[in-house]
Amino acid sequence: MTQFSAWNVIKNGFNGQKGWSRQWRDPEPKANYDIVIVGGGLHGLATAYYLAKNFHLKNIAVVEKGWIGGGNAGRNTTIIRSNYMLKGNREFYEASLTLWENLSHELNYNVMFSQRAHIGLYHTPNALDAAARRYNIMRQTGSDGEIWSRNTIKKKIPHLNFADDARFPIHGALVQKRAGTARHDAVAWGYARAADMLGVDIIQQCEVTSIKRSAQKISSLHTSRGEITANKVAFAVAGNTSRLWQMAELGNLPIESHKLQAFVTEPIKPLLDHVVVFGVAGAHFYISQSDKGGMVFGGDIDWYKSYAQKGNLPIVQDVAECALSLMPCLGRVKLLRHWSGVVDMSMDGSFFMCKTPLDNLYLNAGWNYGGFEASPASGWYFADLIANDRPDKVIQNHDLDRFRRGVHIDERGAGSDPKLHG
Amino acid sequence: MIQISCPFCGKRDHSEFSYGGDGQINYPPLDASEDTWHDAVFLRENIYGRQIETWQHLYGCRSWLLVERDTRTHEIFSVKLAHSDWQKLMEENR
Amino acid sequence: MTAIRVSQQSSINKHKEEETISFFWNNKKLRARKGDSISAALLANKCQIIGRSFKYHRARGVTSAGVEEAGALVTTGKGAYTEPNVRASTTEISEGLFVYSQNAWPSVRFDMGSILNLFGRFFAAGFYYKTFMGIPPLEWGRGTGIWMFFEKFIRKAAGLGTASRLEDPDSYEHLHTHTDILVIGSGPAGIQATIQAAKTGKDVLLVEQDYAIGGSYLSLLDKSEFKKQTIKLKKHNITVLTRTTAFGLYDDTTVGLVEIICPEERDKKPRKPRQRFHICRTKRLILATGALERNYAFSNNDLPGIMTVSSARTYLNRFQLLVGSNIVISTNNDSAYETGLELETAGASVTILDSREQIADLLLEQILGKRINLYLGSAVAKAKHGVISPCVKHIEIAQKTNDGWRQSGALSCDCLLVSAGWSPVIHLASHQGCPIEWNEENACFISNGDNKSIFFAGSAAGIWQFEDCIQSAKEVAGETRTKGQKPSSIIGGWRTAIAPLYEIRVPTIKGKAFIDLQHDVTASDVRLAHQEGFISVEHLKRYTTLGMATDQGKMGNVIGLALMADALNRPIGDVGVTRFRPPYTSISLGALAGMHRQSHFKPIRKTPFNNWSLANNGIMIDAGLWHRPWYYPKQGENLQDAYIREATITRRSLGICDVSSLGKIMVQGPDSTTFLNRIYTNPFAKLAIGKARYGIILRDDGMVFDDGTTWRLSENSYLMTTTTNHAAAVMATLEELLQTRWPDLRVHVTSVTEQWAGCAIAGPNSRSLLSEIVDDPSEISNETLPFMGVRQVLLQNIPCYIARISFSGERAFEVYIPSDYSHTMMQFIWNKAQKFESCLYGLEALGTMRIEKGHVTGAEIDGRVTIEDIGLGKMASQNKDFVGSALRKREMLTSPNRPQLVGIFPKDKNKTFSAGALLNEAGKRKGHPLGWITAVTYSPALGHWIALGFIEGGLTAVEDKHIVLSDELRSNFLDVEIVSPHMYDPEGKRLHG
Repeated sequence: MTQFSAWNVIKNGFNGQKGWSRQWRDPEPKANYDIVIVGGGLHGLATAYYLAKNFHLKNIAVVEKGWIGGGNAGRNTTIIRSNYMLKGNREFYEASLTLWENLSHELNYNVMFSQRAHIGLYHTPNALDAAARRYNIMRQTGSDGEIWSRNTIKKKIPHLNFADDARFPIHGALVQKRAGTARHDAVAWGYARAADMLGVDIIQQCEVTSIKRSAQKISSLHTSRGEITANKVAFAVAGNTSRLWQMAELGNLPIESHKLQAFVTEPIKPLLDHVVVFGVAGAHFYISQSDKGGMVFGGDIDWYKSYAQKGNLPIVQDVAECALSLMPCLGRVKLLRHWSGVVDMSMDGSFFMCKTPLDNLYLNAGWNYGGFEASPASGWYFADLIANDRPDKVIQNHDLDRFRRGVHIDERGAGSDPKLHG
Repeated sequence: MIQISCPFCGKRDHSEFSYGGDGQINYPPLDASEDTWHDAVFLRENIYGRQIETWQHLYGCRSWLLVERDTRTHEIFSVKLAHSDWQKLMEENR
Repeated sequence: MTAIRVSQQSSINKHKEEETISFFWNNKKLRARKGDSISAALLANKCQIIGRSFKYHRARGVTSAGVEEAGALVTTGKGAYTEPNVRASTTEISEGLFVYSQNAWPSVRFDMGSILNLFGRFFAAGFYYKTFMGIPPLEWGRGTGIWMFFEKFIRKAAGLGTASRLEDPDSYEHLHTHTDILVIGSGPAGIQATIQAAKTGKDVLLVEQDYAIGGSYLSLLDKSEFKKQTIKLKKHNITVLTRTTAFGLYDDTTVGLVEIICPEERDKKPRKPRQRFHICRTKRLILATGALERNYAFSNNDLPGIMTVSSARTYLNRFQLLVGSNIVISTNNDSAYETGLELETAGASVTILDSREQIADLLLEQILGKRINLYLGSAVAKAKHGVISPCVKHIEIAQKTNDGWRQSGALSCDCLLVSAGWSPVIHLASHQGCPIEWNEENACFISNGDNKSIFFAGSAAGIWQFEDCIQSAKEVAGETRTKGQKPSSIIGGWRTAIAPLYEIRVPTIKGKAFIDLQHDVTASDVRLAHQEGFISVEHLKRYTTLGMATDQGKMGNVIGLALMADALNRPIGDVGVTRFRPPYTSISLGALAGMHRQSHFKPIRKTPFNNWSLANNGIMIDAGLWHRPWYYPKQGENLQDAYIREATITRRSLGICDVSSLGKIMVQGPDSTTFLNRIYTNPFAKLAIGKARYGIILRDDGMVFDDGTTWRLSENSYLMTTTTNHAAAVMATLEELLQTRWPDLRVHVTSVTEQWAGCAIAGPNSRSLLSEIVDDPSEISNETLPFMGVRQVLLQNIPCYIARISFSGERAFEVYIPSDYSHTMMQFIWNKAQKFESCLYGLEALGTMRIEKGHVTGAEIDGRVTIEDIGLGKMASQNKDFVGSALRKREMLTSPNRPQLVGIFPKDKNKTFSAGALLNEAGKRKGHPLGWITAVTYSPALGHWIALGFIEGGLTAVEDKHIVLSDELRSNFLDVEIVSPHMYDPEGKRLHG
């Protein structure tokens, strides 16, 4: 495998790009693996990488029904932040952000993580009160966060809406400077390439069609590419977790599948250097500009359960209204494309990473809105869980039984209604 | 835009309605056990395909409805009033 | 390529010939004909280099006459009217229009950026994933700093046009449309389908993206048939929307349309919106969207002067523009011949290279005797620009041999037209997931719609012969077809079969062969993607950015797919197709947002007292959608001065506050008592008529949902109040419970929030004021209206409710007045209040007094607290079950270590603090805190700052601990004292009496 570097880019410029080989192999599935990870998204691939890297495990496969990174990995708005405040989430997402900061070097793949700051606007003094607690906790637990006044924002992003007739005038913002955006596809490919180099088999076009199990264990997976047995099986198929879970006859999960839309405009010359987010009076919106120049934005989920990767007009209108309300200069900028992904919405808005009723099955699910930024830590802690067969302290409350104990990791305080955890 | 045929108001855009949740859940009586309530409140079948779900005609007659819809395609197969007696009356008077 | 205007051959537009208008190209004044597209106008003015490509900054000219345009992208307008990335090919020129080239500096003809082209060999697909992460050449370093350094330059180079920084001054409208049949596309099939559908008596709407109807009719030399059809169309009185893009198909055949209002019309009526967004619901959708002509990959196929064959025909017959005098056509199908003939007739010399080795006699006969050279089994292998001009001047020809293509000669030309097949426009059907199949015979993707409500007609269905197109339109519109039946018209229908042509590659010829002209994706990029394992369509698209440009791969996607199939040695159908996503062509965000901008972004909810408050110097604050009075400053007062005064006067004498935004719900029916007893945690079974009770509602999961007082007005009738914030959610929940869980309960709930204006009258003099305003003062004595009593009384002969409840902790009453009387009644009350020392108080003073009393609001009830957490555990009945009672007893919810509500004083009484600050044990300022502050105020009653907050274990757990407040965000650190949340008058003496 050729190392990725400016040197080799130049070298291959001269030799007609002949030196580049497949970024990951295309192996035939073996009949048996020590660990099979179902789901070739960011979380599955990262898990495989850290299993191989941190625990020197060799005999690992990632099986993916389509193409790696084809699900929510490539359907999000690429925002990376760690502004979570509740125990467990806080540590987890902070670890994730820390991993992100060096990920390109770790993987020798430019994932283009750009720490362009996450600007969470607030519009009333009360909103500052609620957010200040969050950012103070972040500060106290080793992260960064600061308050920007209206004037500071006006200086940094003058074309936000500072008009007199703004429905919700900007009062200020809570800012995480280390937050930013990355190139989502590159993360999937980077993890795949790095995992592959460590010997992980990445098997695409390999759909799990049924699961053979005993009372205590999964014995084998039937796939579209043959039967695969594994000592340990891990699910990382957010969006479709319930389907796989029920295939294993494990009953119901505290998860609903909802669809989340994302939007991009035509490319324009640099207009917005930051990630700007606002939520007020039921509106919810986040926007940034990609390196290609498209304004990338999103809002709420479509409010009803869905496995269809197609969006609907009310949310399209909603986000356009938010876009113009935040940046009135966007009126003549054109929407290029909108699409949607299916996300696992959980009962408290937080994820699950845990052991399961079956001895050799591990679950990684329920990522709500936070799946992309979680990817590195998700791989890190899930690998640790699988390798050591016990959860790290950070994720010990992210189990399926937490609601029985009365543990709600509810960053929004929205309660047991998945659609409200946007 | 999904079109939902409200039994009182007729066919309307789904943006007039608010999605409730899984209509297949049988909420237990208030004195049921913690475990029974846990399962009803926190666990979901999360059906891939046809499911019964609740919607409220929020910006219309405010009826709660039981809608049979395919979660893969959004196609709707039936709409009933969630209130069993009202639904019965509706059917009798049809 | 030098285009010239030719004399009118068709009489239809003759009268328009003289109508010329002026426009500005890069600030230079030029003339155009009315009806020209920007592309036509620029071509007529010999402007051939219109833009620069995304990556290599190569010169780009007009490549088409339609939405597939990848080269002629411009910016129009100035200042706030600037619109970037406008397709010159589909936008009409209007008087005085400013048109600018984009992505070029200093000018589009001499663009410094084109230096990148020289380094193109290094910028293969995905190169940026391989570098820029560390210090070159070996990517040393850590972190994101080096990438972010490079990124700055990359961002500046990327993007196309520049958006204005100013607010869009135009307005946009939304329209809701309903129709039986929506026909998209006004070409021959679309018009036919429309007429046919109108004959059946159905309501039909015809939309056309162009600014003129006619579709491919407009490109025909002979317009007699078109004329005939337009007369028919008029006769049926059909609504036709031009300049209207059907951008997306959504569930239940809802179609999103964006209509651009004719610029001329807007000149006359400037207040007209710029665009209209129609949400169109149709029972039947007929897609007569036509087909787009493709080019193919060959060396330098991006030079200005190269365009599709059909677009040359459009320029000739629609705009009377002959695009060259020495024209080469390279094709693989029959459609190019007619154009060749027409170009020849118009005066050009024409050479046709047909990649097929044999063609039908009919075609041969057609060109016989014309100045047309025909090379069979040939195709263009390379285009070459001139010595100075970047436009096409020569071509190199490749000849088909048994083992591929070989170089076989050269020609000079001033224009090269390409036709490598047609792609039916099936995008809208794809939006809804209708199946799409690769049709090998016709070398294109075809969809049949869903055979229920989505149908195709004409070339959008892959039908090429005119008569067949018309037939297919009749069938889908006349509804003679039964469900599931395939159309009888013939898909395909070429005289000579099309010969697939996606790339001409000759080993002896070098140079970039583009498949996506805008993003500069080349054929070798596809091969590199294959080499590196990016073989699925999705990977190919993402790795090379093929099809991600503003044209969304309308032309290039199929070529990319074909090249990948070739590399994989598999049929194209097996490689797959990515699902098309809306919008079909880009649409402005302004249109989607419509009127919902600035102050109209979200509705404003105003209380009935709103105008009265404003007239009395009230300053409003946003509370959700509500505007509520915040404070009422006297001259020179700031917020703090005002609220301190308001709270002081209220506690000392009398204050009046607007509380109308509280939710108010009538609960009526014989089972109301049972219902409320299940809803609230505390007992409601024995609430006496004429009494109010404070109650807490939990969610199913056992956490606190909402609180408020509920008044028993009669045996079966209650008035429930909720918090402002949760009013709608509580209402919906009550309805849900009654309709889905407890249909046996005979209860009806009605929201009456808007019906009643509520004002709190608080303070020691509150009863004195009341006795001045009620018609019968005996009704409000301490005996007749004790604490928590409710009465209906007459104020000025108007029935109102008075409840003796208190949020401020003072003796207080809430007076509910029918909304219609609110203004005069408030004036009446306020006049009477002048007898006393009195004030109006707003949300801030309300907050002050509730914090002093330790009453909770949304700041504390944040969806994560139990009833015990907020110190109201005693309100949870042990003797009944209620909503949330089962789950509230779970292990972690009953732990004594949970954060509980407390009061907080600064040790140094001169210090202040802010909400959102954290509480730590002294010396432990790292990690998760012990608690946090939810609300702060200066307490006039206590003479220093106070706060409410939560701390682990509550007051008792920290009694002997040294607690410090840390507010790193605002750099405030101080010692605090944790006290009971009931910081003022804990016994509640002031309420009674």
